[in-house]
Amino acid sequence: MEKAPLVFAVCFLLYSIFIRPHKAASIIAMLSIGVLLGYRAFIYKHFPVIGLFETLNFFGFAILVIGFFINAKKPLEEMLKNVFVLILIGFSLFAQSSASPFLPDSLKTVLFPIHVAFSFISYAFFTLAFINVISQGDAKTAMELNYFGFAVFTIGLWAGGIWAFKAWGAYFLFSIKEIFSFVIWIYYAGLIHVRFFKKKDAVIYYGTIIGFIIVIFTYIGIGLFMKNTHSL
Amino acid sequence: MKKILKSLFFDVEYSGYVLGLISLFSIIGAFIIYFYPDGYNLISSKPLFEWMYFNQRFDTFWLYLITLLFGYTAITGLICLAKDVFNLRFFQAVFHLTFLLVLLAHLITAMYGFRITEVILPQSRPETIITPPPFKHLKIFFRDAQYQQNAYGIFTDIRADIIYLDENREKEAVLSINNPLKISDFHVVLKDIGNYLAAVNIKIYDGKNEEMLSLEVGKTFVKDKYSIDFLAHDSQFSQIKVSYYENGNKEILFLTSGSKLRLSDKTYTVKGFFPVVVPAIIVDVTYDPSLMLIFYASTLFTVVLSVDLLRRFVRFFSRRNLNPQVTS
Repeated sequence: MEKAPLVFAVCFLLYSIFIRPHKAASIIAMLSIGVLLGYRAFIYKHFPVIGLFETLNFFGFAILVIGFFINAKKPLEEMLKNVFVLILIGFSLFAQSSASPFLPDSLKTVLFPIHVAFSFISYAFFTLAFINVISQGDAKTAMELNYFGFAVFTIGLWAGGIWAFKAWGAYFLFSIKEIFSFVIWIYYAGLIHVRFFKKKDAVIYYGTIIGFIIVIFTYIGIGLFMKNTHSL
Repeated sequence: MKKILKSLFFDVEYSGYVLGLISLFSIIGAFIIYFYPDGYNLISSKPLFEWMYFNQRFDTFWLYLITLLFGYTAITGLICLAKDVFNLRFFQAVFHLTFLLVLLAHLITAMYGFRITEVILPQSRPETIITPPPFKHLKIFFRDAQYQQNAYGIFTDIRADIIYLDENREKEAVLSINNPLKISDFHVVLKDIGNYLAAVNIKIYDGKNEEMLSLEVGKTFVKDKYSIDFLAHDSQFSQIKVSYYENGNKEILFLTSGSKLRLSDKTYTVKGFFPVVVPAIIVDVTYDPSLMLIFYASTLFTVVLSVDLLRRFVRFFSRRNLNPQVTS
């Protein structure tokens, strides 16, 4: 029953991808996921970014919201954005949605939602940069999106560092997830310097694709397939 | 040569690629740590550079390379900062300055900072005093703990009352999750609470009477001419391992229910085991002289970056939406 808004969202995304690409379909899908996230926030009394189910939906929601504001220039870009969100939402339909109403003490801090939400918003920017690059190869837009992602990711990393120190006594614990978070930051810090390069378009193109692979590996690869103390 | 050196330090292109190289070596390091965790278990228990000095193995090469590359970025960052100041580029100047400060802070941490995890058992046991080697003057006594355990088995609302000695003065404090306690130069962080085996009571029978032999974990049981140390148990407590000393002879014994146990000149039959489990707190004791520098520098970096983000996003949004080609 809880997954009903997701089925609704999937239908509209499928419509947008296969039948008639329309911005309204993306907006309805976005609102459906938003309803689900709001419902879970109300029922479970926490910001809905705990566990695979919620993070997948939050990630998809963030892509749709940011995508709405930055306005796709080409039908292919709009379609690829919807395909990516469809994959995330479709994946979440098979993920366990039940959640404990009790949070561990370490998660009861405002730094936790800031850290996770900003991280996923930044992932959404990086994803949109990737989609932009493969759909139209607009290096300037991709560069801007990478920069926004980097800035938002920095806020998430800053909140996460302070929270980690308060909860675990260190802002960096040499775990694979944290090292990869550091990699994302330093990689995109390098990538935003590319605008000063001589042959920048090709570097931005391939750099954005590699960056996206690192981001997805950090989220899905490490979170799901590798044992680590850090949650998703 | 002069031209190469000049482009190496003044050309942003090289700095960009070096940041990419740092990412690459970090990825390699992440996988090394993941697949070889034993080699890195104690990486935080000493200052990083000291740890690197005592762990000069092939698999730590990435740490040396990253340190070297960060040294290079520090120089190029300084040059960029000078250029930014000269050209009155405010945002870039702040980014480069704070980045350099964060690098400096990490250098100090790598030279002096470390972190130790301790399990502190209740006050009734003398082992509750923690004095890890670098913390000669830091002693913490765990007095009491309050916590709830919900239906999911999660400990919540954890609070630990502690007494600590701060330069020989006894002080009281309450530790809770997400609320570190600063004691002189150290931070004590309550990480978790858990149940720990404090003792094992062994019921023994000599054919006439039953007796209880209480072996405290980490403490030698001494009676008459013999002494016993508890070593280990299997998870179901169907067998325990002890070492038995008598007249200078040491013997390792594996006891199960029904085993014969010879203590001094008397033989007993083991009738069963009764573990004594007590709550204990897990704390991290951290020493990081550059903590405030990292905090203020990273906060300044984040704040200025957020302002720049807003500024650029508004500009980007306006440009992007002036000529929207909405799909339909």
